[in-house]
Amino acid sequence: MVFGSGGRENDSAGHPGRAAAVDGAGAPGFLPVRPVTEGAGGPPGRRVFLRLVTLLAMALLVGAAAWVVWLERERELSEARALSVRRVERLAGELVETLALAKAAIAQVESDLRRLPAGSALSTVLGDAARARAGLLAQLPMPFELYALDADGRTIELAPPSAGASHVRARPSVAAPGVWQVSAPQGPAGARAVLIERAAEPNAHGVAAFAVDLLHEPLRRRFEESRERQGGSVALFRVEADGGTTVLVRVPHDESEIGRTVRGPLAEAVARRPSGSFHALTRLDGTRRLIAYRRLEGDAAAIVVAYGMATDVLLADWRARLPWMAAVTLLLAAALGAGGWRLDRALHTQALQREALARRERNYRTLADHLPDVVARLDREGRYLYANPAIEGATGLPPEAFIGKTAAELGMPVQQVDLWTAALRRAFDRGTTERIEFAYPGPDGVRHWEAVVAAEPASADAAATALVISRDITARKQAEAAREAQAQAEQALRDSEERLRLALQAANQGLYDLDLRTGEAVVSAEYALMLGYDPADFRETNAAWRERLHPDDRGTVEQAFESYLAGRSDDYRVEYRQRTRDGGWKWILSVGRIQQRDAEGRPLRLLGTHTDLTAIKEAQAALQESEARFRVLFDASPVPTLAYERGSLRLLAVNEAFTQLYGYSREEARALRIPDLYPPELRAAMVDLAARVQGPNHVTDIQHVCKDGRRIDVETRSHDYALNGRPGRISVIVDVTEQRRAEAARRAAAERFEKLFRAAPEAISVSDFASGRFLQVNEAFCELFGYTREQLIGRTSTELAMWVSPAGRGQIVERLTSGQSVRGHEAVGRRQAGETIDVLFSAERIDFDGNDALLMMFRDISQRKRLEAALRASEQRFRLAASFGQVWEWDFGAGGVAPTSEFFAGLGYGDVVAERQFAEFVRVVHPDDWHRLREALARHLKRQGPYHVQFRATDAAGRTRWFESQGQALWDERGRAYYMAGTTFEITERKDAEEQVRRLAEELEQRVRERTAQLAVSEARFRTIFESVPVAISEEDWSGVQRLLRELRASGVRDGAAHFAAHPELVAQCLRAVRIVRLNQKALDLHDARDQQSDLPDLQAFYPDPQDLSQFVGELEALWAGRRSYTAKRHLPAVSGRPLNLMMTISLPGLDDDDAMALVCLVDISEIDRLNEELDRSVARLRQVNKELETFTYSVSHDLKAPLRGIDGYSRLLLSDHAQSLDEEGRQFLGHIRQATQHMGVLIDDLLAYSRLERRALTLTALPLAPAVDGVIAAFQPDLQARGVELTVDVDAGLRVTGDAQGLAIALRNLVDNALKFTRESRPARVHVAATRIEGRVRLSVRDNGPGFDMKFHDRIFAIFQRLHRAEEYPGTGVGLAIVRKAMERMGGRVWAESAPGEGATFHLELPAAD
Amino acid sequence: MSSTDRPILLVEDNPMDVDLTLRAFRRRRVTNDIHVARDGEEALAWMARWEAGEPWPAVILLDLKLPKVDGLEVLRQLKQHAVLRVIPVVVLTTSADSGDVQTAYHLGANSYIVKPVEFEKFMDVSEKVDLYWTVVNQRPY
Repeated sequence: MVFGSGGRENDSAGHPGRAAAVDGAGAPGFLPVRPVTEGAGGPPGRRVFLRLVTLLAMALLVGAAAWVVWLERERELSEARALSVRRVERLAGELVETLALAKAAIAQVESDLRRLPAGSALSTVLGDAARARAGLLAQLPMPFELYALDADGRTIELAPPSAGASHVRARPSVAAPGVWQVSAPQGPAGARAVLIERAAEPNAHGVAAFAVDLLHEPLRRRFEESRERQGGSVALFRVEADGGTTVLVRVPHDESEIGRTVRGPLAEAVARRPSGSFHALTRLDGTRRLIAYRRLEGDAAAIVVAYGMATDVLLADWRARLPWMAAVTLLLAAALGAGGWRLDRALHTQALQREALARRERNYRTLADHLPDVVARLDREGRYLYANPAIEGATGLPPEAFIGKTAAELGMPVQQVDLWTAALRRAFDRGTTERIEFAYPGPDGVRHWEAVVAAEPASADAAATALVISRDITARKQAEAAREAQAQAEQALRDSEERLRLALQAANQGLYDLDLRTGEAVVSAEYALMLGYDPADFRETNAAWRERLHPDDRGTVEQAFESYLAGRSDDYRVEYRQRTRDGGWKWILSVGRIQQRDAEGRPLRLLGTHTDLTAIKEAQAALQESEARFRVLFDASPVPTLAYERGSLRLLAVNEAFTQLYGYSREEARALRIPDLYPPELRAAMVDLAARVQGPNHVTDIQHVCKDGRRIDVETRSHDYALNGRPGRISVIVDVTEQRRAEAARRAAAERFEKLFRAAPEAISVSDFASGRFLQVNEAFCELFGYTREQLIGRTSTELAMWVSPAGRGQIVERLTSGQSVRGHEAVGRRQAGETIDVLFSAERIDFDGNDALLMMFRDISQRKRLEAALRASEQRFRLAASFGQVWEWDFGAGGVAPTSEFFAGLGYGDVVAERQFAEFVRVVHPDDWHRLREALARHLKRQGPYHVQFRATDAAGRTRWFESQGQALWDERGRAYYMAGTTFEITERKDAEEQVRRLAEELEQRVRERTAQLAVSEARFRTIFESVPVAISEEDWSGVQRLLRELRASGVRDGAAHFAAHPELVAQCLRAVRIVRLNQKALDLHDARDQQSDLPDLQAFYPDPQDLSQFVGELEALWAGRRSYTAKRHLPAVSGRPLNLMMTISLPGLDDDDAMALVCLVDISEIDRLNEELDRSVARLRQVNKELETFTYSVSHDLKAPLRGIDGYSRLLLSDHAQSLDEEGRQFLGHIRQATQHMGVLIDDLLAYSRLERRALTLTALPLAPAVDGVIAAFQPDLQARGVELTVDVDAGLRVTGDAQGLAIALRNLVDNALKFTRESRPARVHVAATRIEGRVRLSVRDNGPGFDMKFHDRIFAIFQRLHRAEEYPGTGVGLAIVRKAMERMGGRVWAESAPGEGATFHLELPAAD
Repeated sequence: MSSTDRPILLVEDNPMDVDLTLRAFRRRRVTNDIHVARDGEEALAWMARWEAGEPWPAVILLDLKLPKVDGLEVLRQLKQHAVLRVIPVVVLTTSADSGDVQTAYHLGANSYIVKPVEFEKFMDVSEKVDLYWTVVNQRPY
C-alpha cells in the first residue's frame, strides 16, 4: 500500500500535519491545499535582526528591574531619614524648652537675689520663689531638678522640691559665669543625673552657681518612648573641646557606655556641624546606621541629641522583596529569550518544510498522474478534491468532472454509496485504513472496484481529507461469481440426493422402476433388504414380484394394477403380502405412477415405491386383540369409565358403572359431550382443557353433574386412546363425593380446634359440660397440670383432684348455667405431682362437635402469687429495717435479751452491762405495760401474732417516756424460736402529739355531733319537703350505669349515641343497673303504687314494655355527654296501666364522679298537654276568624271604592254637562262632594295598604340599606325638584339590615312622604336621611324641618286614624305612620319619633343588622 | 276589518262603572264598538261566538270582581284557549293588591290598570287604553 500510506509519510522536520503546500499547478492539487501567509518564514537577514532585538529587550528588562530596586531602597531610606529627623527635632526641642525654662527660672531667682538685702535667710527666700513656680515646672516634658549652689558648695532646692533627692549631686565645677556646663552623669545606675550647671553672677549672698539635674532614669524613659521601630536608638552626647563626644544617655541602655568619650566619624561629623540638625549614614559598632543629629547651641550647653537606626533593619522589607523581584526579572528575560529562540527555530523549520513539501509534491504528482489505479482525494463530505487521469479510463469522465462532487452525485448506485460513505466515515472517525469493494458504472457497464480509503491526518486549521486508491477487479469478480454459482448448483444437487436417500431409508421404502414392456424392473437396495435378499444379486422382474405375492392377495393386487394401467383408476396403491427369502411374509404397500407413455399413450414405465408395512400390520392385529380384551374389561369394571372422541368431545362409550353412577343409560350417554358432565360454570373451560390435554392426566378436586342434576366430587384419570382409528381419550372416574364430604367435615373440625388451641397461649381444656370428662386439652394445659393428654382424656378434674378449692368445677357450671360469665377468676389447682398452683381462669360454654362442652382457659399465676407473698414479706422486713431507733437482738441459744445499752443511755442510766440489762429493763418499764409487753412477746414466740408493743419507761430523772418496740423471731423446724431481733425507739413526742390529736379529735367529734344534729333537723325538713311537694321525685343510685359506661368508654367507644342505638341490650342492662333509693309519696301516687318495694322495686318497673326502653336512651346519652341535667317527655304507663304523660327532669352525676345519686322529678303534663291542645285549637280558630276578617276588610274597602267612583264621576259630569242648570252654591256643593270622595278614595287605599301589610307573608333577608333608601327616594325625585326640597342622604354603603325589602320600602316611603308633607311651609324645606349602626342594630333616621310636634303625642301619632293637625292644615288619612309601625313590628324592628313644636321632627327606624 | 274598527269587550258588573266607562270612552272620541259582558259567564260566552266567526275584539277590559265566574277564572280560561289566547286582555279593576297583580300576569294578562276614583283620571286611562290597544298595538289577527 504505497499510496495508502504515502500521504502520512513524515519528513525530517516531523510536522506533516502542519505542513503547508504550495500548489504549483493550481486546484485540484494532489496534496491537501492550504493558503500560506507570505513572509512567515523570512530570509536569513531577518533572523539576525530578530536575534538582535531579543537581546536588546532582555538587557533593557534587566536594567529597568535594577533601577526599580534602587529606587525602592532610596525610598525606604528617605522615609527613615525623615522620621529620624522628626524624632531628634522633637527630643531636642523638649530639651531646649526645659533648659530655657530653667534659664528663665534662674533669671528670676537672680533678679530676686539682687533685690534682697545682704545676709537674708537665703534658703527661705529661694524656697518660696521655687514653690511659686512649682506648678509651671511640673508640666515640662523632661523632668528636672533646679537648685542653687552656694559658695560653700551646699545645695538649695529651687524646683521642683526634691522628693528624697536620691541621686548624687556632683561637686560643682563652675566655669565662666552665665555659661552652661554639662558634666558626665554621676552616681550609681538608677539614681543618676545628668548635671547641667550654669555659673551665677557673683553676688552678695554667696551663690556660686545654678544647676539643672536632668534625672537619668526619666530621661531614658522619655527616649525609650521616642523609639519608633525596633532597631532605633537615641542618645545624648556632650561635645568635648577636643572634638570627642561623651555619652550622657543612651537607649537602648548600655551601662558601660555611659560617660565614655567617643572619637571617630560620628564625633567628626558632629564637630563639622556646629549647630542645627543633620543626618549621616555611618558605620557604628560594626553596623551601618542612619543617624540624625541635633546639636543644641546658643547659650545652651554643647550637647547633641542623636536618633539612629540600623540600615539592615530599615531595609529588611526591601531585602525580602529583592529575590522575588530578581526572580520575576529573570523569568521575564528567560521568557523573552525563549520566545525569540523559538521564533527563530520555527522560521528555520518552516523553510525546511516548504522545501521538502515542494519536493514531495512534485514526486507524488508525477507518480499519481501515471498510476493505472484510480487515485482520488475526498473531503469529509465525500466530495472529490482530486482525481488522477486514470479515472477517465475507468468512468469515461475527465478528472475535472469529479471535483467538488460526491459519489452519489456522480451516479454511483445507492447501495454502493452507502458502502462508500460508511467506509469514509470510519476512516475519518477512527483514523483507520478501510478496504472496500464497490461497483461503479463505467463506459463498459458496471465495473467492480477494490479501494483503500485512508484518512489523512487533519490539523486544526486544515479540512480533513481522505485518500482513496481504487483498482478495477471486475474480471476477478466475474470469475469468482461463476465459480460460486457452479459450486452452489453442485451442492444443491448433492443435498437433494442425500435428503431423498435418507427419507427413503427412514420410511423403510424401496424404489422400483418397472419397464412395462419387458417386465424388467430396477429396484433400490432397500427393497431387496426388506425381503431378506442381498441387494448385490437381487434381480427383480414383474413376474418374480407376482410370484412372491401371497395367494390371498394376488387377485386384488392384480385387479388394482390392471385397473390403473387401463386408466380406470386414478392412482395405484395396493397393500399385499410378499414372501421373503426365508419363506415368511411381509406386508408391503406399493404405490406407483406411470412415468412414460408411447406415441399411442400406452404406458411404458411405472415408477414407484414399496413400503414395508409388516410392523404396522402386526401392531394392528395386536391392537385388535387387545381392544377386544379391553372391551370386556371396560364393561365389567366396577370403576365408571368413559371414552370420548377428540375434537367433537362426544362420548363414544361408557361402562356399566358409569351408567349406575351418573344415571344415564348407554344410549343417553352416547348423546353427551364431555362438557355436559361438568357443572355449567366449568363447561367452557372444560372444552378448552379437553382439546389441549395430552397423554396421561390425573384430575382431582373437580365436580361432575349426574343426570338428575346431583353434583358429585370425582377424580378422573384419562389417557389418549384411538378408537376405531379415531383419536380419543379414555377417562376413569372415581366418585370421591363421600370421601370429600367426610374430609371437609374433619378438616373443619380440626381447623377449629387447631386455631383455638394454637392461638391461645393459655392452658385450655374442653370437657363435657355435664359429666366433666375431658374431651380435649392442649399442650399448655398438660404442662400446667403435669399430666399427659392420655391421662386426662375421658377423666374428670374431680376424679383427678385437680381442684384444691372444694367447689371447683361445680361452681363454674352453676354460674354458667345461670347465664353469668366466668372470667378472670382465681383458684388453686393441684398438679399431678401434688404441689398446688395458683391459676387464673375463664370458662365458656361451647358447642364442641355437637357436644355441650365447657371450655376453660387457665393461666399460671403461682409465680405472681409467690412474688406477691415475697413482696409482702420483703415489705415487712423493709418496714422493720426502716424504723429507726435502737436495734436489739435476742439469741435464745446464748440466753438473755439485749435491749442495747443505747436504750439505757438514752434514759440517762449510763452504761449497763449485758448481764444486767434484762433485769434493768424490767425495772424501768412501767409496771402497767410490762404485763402487756410480756404477753405480746409470748404470743409472738408461739407464732400467734406480731410483736409490736408500746410501753412506758421511767428515765433517770424520773420522767415517764414512751417507747415502741417491734421484733421478729426466727423459728427452727420444730417451731421453736431461736432468735429474735427488733427495734425500740422513743415515741414520747409522738405520743404527746397523738394525745393532742386525740383531744382535737374529741373536739371535732363534738362539733360533728352538733353539726349532725343540725343536719338531722335539716334532713328532716328536706324529707318533709321531699314527701310533701306536689312533684314526684325519685332518688336513684346510678353507680352501676356509671361503671358500665366507663367500661364502654375504656373499650374505645367514642360515639355513645350510635352505640346505644345499635345495642339495645346495653340500654336494658343500664336500666337494670339503676337502683331506686326512694320515691316520694307524690311519685307513688302518680304511678298508682301502694309502696315502692312491692310495686316499683326497680327502674324496670317504670318501663314494663320493652319498646319503652328507647325513651331511656336519652338519659344515657346525657350521662355519656357529661350533662348534669336532662329534661324529656315520657309516655309510660302507671302501675295500674293508666297511661301517663310525664315531663321528666333528671339531675345526673358526672360519669367519673364518686357521687352516683341522681334525682328525678316527674311532672304529670297530661293536663298541660290537654290545655295546650285546647290553646292550639283556639289559636287556629282565631287565625281563621282573623283571616275572614281580613278578607272582609279587603273586599269591603274594595267595594267601597266602586260607589265612590260613581259619585265622583257623576259629580264631574254634572259640573261639566249641566253647570248651566246649577247656581254657584250648587256647583260648590258638587265640588265638596268630589273632594270628599277623593279623600275617601285615598283613605280606602291607605286602609287597603295597611291591611295588605298584615296579610303579606314577609321574607326576611339581608338587605343592603343604601340601595333600598336610594330606590325609595328616586320615586320622590320629581316632587322634590318641583318643590325645591333639599334632601340629603348619609347612608354608609356597607350597612345591611335583616328585613323584608318591601316592608322596609313601605315604611321609608311613608316617612319620607310624611316629612315632605310637613315641610310644605318650610323655606327651604330640608329633609335628611341618615343611618348609623348601634351595636347589633341599624338605625335609619328621617329628619325634617317642619313644624314638629309636642312629645306628649309621640306615641299617638303611630296609632291608626290619629292626626295632630286639621285636614286643611296638612291633608292626610292618619294611616301612614300606622303603616310604618305595622311594617316595623312585622320585621322585628321598631319606630319612634323625637320632636318639639317648631323644631322639626325626626323619625327613627331600627332593624337588626344583617352581619 | 281595519284595526280601529275592531270592537272592545268590556267585562264589568257594576252598571254605574259600565256607564261611566262608556261615557269616558265617548268623551274621548273612541269610535270602536264596545260590547259589555255583565258577568264572568257572559264574558266566557263570548268565546263561543268568536269561535263561530264573530270578529275578535281589539282588547278585552276585564274587571276581576265579577258575579258567577270570577274575573281571574275568565282570564285563565281565555288564556288557556289555543286560539283566543292571543286577544289582549287588560285587567281594569279597583284592586291594587299585589297578589291579584301577580296572579293576573301569571295567567297571561297583557296589562293591569287600577281604576282611579277621580273621573278625570279615569277618562285619561280610557283614552290611553283605547289609543294603545286599538290604534298603536299591532295584533296578530
